[in-house]
Parts: sequence; structure tokens; C-alpha cells
Amino acid sequence: VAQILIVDDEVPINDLLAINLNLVGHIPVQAYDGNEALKLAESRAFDLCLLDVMLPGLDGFELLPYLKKLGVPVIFLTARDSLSDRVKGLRMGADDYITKPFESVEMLARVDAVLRRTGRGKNSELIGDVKIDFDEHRVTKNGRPVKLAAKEFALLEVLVKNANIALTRDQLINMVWEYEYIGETRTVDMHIQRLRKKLGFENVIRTVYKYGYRLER
Amino acid sequence: MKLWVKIFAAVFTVSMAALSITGAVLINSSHVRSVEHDIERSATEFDLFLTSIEQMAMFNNGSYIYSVVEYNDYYRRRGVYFALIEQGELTFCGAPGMSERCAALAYPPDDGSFSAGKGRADGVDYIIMSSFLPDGSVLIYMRDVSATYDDMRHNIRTMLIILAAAAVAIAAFAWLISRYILRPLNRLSRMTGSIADGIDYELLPEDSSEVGRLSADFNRMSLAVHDRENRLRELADERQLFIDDMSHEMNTPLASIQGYAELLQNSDCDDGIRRKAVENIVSETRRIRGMCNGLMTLTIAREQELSHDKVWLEPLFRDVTESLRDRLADSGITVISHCGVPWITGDRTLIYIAVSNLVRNAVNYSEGGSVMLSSYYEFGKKIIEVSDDGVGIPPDQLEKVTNPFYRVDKSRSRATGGCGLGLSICSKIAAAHSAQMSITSKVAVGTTVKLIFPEEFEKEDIKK
Repeated sequence: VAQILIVDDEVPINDLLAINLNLVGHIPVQAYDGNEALKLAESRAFDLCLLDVMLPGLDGFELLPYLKKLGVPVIFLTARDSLSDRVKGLRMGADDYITKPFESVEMLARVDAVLRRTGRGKNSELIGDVKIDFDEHRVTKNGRPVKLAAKEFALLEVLVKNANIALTRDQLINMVWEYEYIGETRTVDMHIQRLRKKLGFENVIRTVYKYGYRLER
Repeated sequence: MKLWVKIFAAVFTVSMAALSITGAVLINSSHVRSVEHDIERSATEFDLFLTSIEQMAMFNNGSYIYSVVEYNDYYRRRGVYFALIEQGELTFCGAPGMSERCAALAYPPDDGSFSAGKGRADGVDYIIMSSFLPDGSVLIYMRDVSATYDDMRHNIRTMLIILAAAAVAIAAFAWLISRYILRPLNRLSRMTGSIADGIDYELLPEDSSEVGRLSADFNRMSLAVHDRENRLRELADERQLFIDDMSHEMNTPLASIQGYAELLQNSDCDDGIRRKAVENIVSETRRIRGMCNGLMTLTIAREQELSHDKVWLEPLFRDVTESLRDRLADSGITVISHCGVPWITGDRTLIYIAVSNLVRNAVNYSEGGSVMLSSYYEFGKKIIEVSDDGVGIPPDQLEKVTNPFYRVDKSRSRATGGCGLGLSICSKIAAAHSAQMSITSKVAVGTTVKLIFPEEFEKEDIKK
């Protein structure tokens, strides 16, 4: 569970980020302008900050050095599809950027990547009696190890990282098999069946009718 | 032929001709004077010789031939020769090669003067004079004047050498002159080229010469071109900025709509979140709709041809107030309207939109209180004024408020469904009517917006 500071003056976007981060188990804290964000960041420790560039009060570029000094990793939200904003942000020491509009799956993947890179993400998850160790690629059920194929583990990881969010078969293929795969999605179904059977996840990995799968926790 | 070649050829030809003619005239006149001098001298001499030969002949039995031969022998060292014609026959000729010429002189004028002439033989030039002797013989006197003629030939040779040297100097001079004359023209041509290629250029020097005047005109023209280019660039930049802003303004609500729709689609969220998502989708969609309407109005104000109607202000004010009735009832704000100008000339639809935008702004940025909507004359101009006692605009943002999509207070603007186009639309509508929009404001005191219409012409004036 990561404490994540969201700074964006667009209330609906801010709320949306908070809802999505909350769904996968993070704790979001919302700020609507630069000064408020600075006060919050100084009052408590955050594992990550999602920072909009254009803000009332202090803007994103002005806020970044303070956050860096406090040791908070930063992902920039650039609304305009502006290359110069992105380059400037990265050069100033931002860890990544997300351009609006974004897909929640992509946003979560980037958040997760930055958390892991900066050593703030959890490297293990406990779902029921199943413990998943992401760093060592090891899964145990009731303390006994479960043997998973590489693709099965990757699929499990994607589902856990996007817990409570339904993913389409195409999205899963893109993220796990890492290629554009049109039509034949039976591979996904077969891997899901095996995961359910090996981990006893029949009620954890839900089939979403005409859409895909969702891991619930 | 290139202009510089023409100038070069003209300068060169004229200079050379002037120099040659001057030289020739000088040499010739000097030569003529020398010859005249020679003739004068010869005539004096001949006169003396004639007398002394006549006297000597008396000692030689009246025979001239001996004295003539004697004189000839004696004087030829000094370049003087004699010849004698007796009874029509040439009996003696002292100058070599001159016999024939002398024989032709058998009949000199008999009035006592000397007949004079010129002759040349064996490379020697002579002045020839002849006169009758008392017995009817003819004495011929010849003087060697080669020196005079040699002088002339020498002068001509010197002159040719000088001309050749001068030709080189004049050619160089003519070339420099042609370059000098054409320099401003060449500069002009380079400058034209730079402007055509879009390279930066400098202004040409101006003076009262013809090229200087042309340069001055050209400078004016290039400055005008430069100005226009800058204006176009500014316009393009403004448009680009507008498009950037617009894409940002569109993207933000679209991001929300997309995100919330996805949220509804792929997660089993609780009712609270679900309701929030739907509310957001609806409000953001409305925001985009508002923006589309605003953009449409902006386009109409900018591009559509205006109609020039008499717009009666009292009913227009009434319609505006009426259209905001619900909003006014909710906020408890009253609109006080006073109409001191019966009508203005313009496009009713656009003026309605402008006034309605201004009043709505005033209502949105007020907390209770009242909004004054009035029209009156000021210095002969017609004014429509909307003033409120609302939150006001900070002085540093006053000039930005007419920029498209600019909002002083984002959250208030969102709450009232604004998209930052209202004042931008008003200023465009004002500009389309050649009217001015002036905004004065004080934070926490209120804002006054004036639309100042130009002085009206009578209809007859327009027809004229």
C-alpha cells in the first residue's frame, strides 16, 4: 500500500485518479493547488506524487524541486500533448510522465513501475492464503510453493497490480505477451483456467461477461 | 549589354576622343606656326639673296649662273639651296631630287612678290620660293625645313605613346566610375534578393540622388512588407495559441469523461462512486457543449458579415434580463437597467450575445447585490455599460481576461458552467462593430465593462 499525493486543480480528474488508485489498494491524498500540495507534502511522508504541470499558486515545475528535496518520487501529468513540458519535467528530475487523457490501466502501470524502481512498492502481496513475491517470482499457498510457468506468473502479476479493475483479453495479451494479438484470445482463457486451478482462485479471478477478467480482493 | 559596360564604354570613348582631339589640335597649331615662321624667315633671306645675286651678276657680265652656283655651294651647309631657270629651261638645281619640282616654277607671279610652296625629296622637306630676275630668268630658293617637320612627326609619336598610356589609365578610371555609379543599384538589387529569399536585410542609405530616392521608397516598401509579415506571424501565433489552448480545454473534460466511463465499464464500484462518475460525465459533457457553442459564436463574430440594423436597446435589455430570470432568482441578485440611448446601429443577434454575456459574467462573479445595465451618451458616443459590485478582477489579470479560455477563478467558472470564452466573444463582437470594450475593476469592489460605440453617422452620410 502506497501513500500517493495527487495534485491537480481539475476536480473530476483529481477524483478519478484517487478512485482508481484506491481500487488497486493505494491510499490517495488529494490537493487542488500548489501551496496546498506543499503543505501536505511537508506534513507527512508520501511514496509518490502525481503532479499536474498547470496549477494555481505554485505550478508543477516550481513544486518539483521541493518534492525532490523531500525525497518524494514524482510523475508529471501533462494535459497538453506538449513534448517540451515532458522533456522539461524529466530533465528537472521527474521520474515519469503521464499525458492526459490517459487510460487508467496505463496510469496504474506507470505508478507501479515508479514505486518499484524507487523501492517503495510492495514486493509481495497476500491474497487469501496465497502469497505472491514479485521480486523472486515465487508464489506460495498456505506456505507451500506453487509452480507457475513464466507467462502464468506475468498474468497473475498484471491482474494483482490492477486489482478490482476489469481487463479485456486484448489488454492482457498486450501486457503479458507483449504483442498485438488480434482475434485469438483462447490463450488468455487457458492461462486463466490454470491460475484458478493452481491457486484456488475460482472466486478471486472473476470473468466479466463479454469483456474480460477482474481480480477481486 | 550590362549597364556597367555601357557606362564604361561611354566614359572611355569620350575621354579618349577628347584627349586625342586636343593633342591633334595642339600639335597642328604648333606646326602651322613653325611653318609660318620658316616662311617669314625664308622670305627675308630670299630678298637679301636676290639683291646680292643681282649685284654679283653685274661683275660676271650679267650672267647669273656663276653667282647662283657659288651661293649654292656656300649656303647648302646651312640648308639653303638655289636653282635657276633661264629662258624657260632649268639650267641649275642645287637641291638633290628637286629638279622636276623646280622646272615647274618657270612662271612665278610677276608683281614682284615671291611665290612660295613646299616640296619634299629624298626625305628632306623644303620651303620653295621663286622670283624673276631683271633679265627674265627665275631664281628659285629652297630652304631645308626638315627640322620643323621632324618636330611634328616626333610630337605625333609622343602623342600616340601618351594616348596609349592614357587609355589604360582612362579604362581604370572609367571602370571605377561605373562601379561607383552602380554601387547603390547593386546594393538595391542585393537587398531585393534578400527580401525575396526571406533573409534579414538592412536599410539602404538615403540621399537626394535619384538612386537615393529610389532607396528611400524601397526602404519604405520593405518596412511595410516586414510589418505585414510580422503582423501575419503574430496572427498565426495567436491562432496557434488559440488552437493549443482549445485542444487543452477540450482534452481535460474528455480525459475525465473517458476515465469515468472506463471506471463504470470495468470495475464493480459502489453506488457512491458510480453516482459521482455519472455526474462528472454529465457535467463535463455539458462543459464541452458550452465550449462548442462559444467557439461557434466566436467564429460568427469574427467571420460573418454584420447586418447594420437599428437595434432598439430597451427591448434588448428586457430580453437579456428575462433570459437570466432563473439564475437571478437562485442567486438573489437584481438587475437594474436604465436605457438612455434608444438605439444603436449593428447586428442585433451579436449585440444581444455580448450584452447577455456581460450580464451573466456580472451575475456569476457577484455574491448577492445588484448588477447595473445601462446605456448613455458620453462625449457624443453611445455607451452600453454593465457594472457589478462583485469579486472584481486583480489588476495583473485585467488585460488577460479577454484571452480565449482565460479564467480568473477556475473553480467558480466551472461551477457556473463557464469555459473562459465570454469576454473573448464580447471583445470580438465589439471589434466587429468598431466599438471599444473597456474594463475597469477593483478587487472586492466590483467590475465595470463598457462597450463604447463609435459616433453614429446619419444614414445620408453613409449613402454619400
